[in-house]
Amino acid sequence: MGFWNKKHILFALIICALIAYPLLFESKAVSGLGSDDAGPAYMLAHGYHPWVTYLWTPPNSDVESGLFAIQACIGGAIMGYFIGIFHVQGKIRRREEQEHKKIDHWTEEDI
Amino acid sequence: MHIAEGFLPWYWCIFWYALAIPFIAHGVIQIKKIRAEHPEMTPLLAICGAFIFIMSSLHVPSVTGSSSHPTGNGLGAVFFGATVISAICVPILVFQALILAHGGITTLGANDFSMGIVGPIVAVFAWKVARKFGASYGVAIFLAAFVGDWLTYVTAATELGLAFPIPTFASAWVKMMIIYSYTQIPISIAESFLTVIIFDYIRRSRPDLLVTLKVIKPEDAKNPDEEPEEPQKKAPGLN
Repeated sequence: MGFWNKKHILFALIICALIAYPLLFESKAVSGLGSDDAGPAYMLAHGYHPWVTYLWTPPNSDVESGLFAIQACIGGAIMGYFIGIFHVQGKIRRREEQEHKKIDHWTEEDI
Repeated sequence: MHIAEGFLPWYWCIFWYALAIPFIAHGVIQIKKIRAEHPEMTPLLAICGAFIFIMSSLHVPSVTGSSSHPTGNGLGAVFFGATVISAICVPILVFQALILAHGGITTLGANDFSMGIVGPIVAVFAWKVARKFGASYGVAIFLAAFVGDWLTYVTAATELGLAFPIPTFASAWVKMMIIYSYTQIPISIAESFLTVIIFDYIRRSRPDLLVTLKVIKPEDAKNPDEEPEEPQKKAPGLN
């Protein structure tokens, strides 16, 4: 039996629904301020002045999105690599367990 | 929860740095110790770090009409403890502050305190309480991931409320809570389901690591979803 059972498929569907719903029906969620921007916007509106600014900022939102995508790709590559190692190790472990069970069975009953 | 550069007065920056540094130092020592005593844990450490790296890069729309990003700090906190996550979060937050102009160097202490310290500590607490009351591993890791993510944002809201108590701390805190933590609830739920899937996968593929870390009991190392045993074949030539 593979890893994905009914429970995991249901979880994946719930995740997709939680992300897809605002994409489809909540336009502000896509085009409006994110919570990380809304906090500072509230402070600026109430007279706060930042005492230091960024050394460098992405020149436009496309570059910013691209950089975030690169970050996700780097993380995904690292995670995928090690998950792949775990996948192979898991297969080897289960195969070895099966072999041991067979050997144990022979020793107890047949030999 | 990334408080932007310059959005905390300098004395609050120093305060949050002072609170975060001992946790980060302990985390660095813990990581060195884990890698020295159990080098086989390195891939799991990398997975936990990469999970936080990915999660904190994703801007996820929320059903509340805003957007935010998950944190991914619950999984690693349950595996390795809160201080390890506080250390892992530092290079991630520095990367985002310098390359993406997201967060900040002056606010690094505050951001690490919310994402790398409070969130993970509460996640570990939730995991232990849930397990003590007999919750399954799936339910316990779900709760840990949920409160780890959500409390990260509650802490960020509190940090901003303290730094900018206009007109009062209470009203500023309520406003920040609405901005940060209300949006975060559905995102935390989505992250928690994803964390359960990853936890189950690691438990299935490398349960020995989780037993070593005392995350699961040795008798639970065998996955309940494992395929039923095949009928045993007798060795050739034996009766």
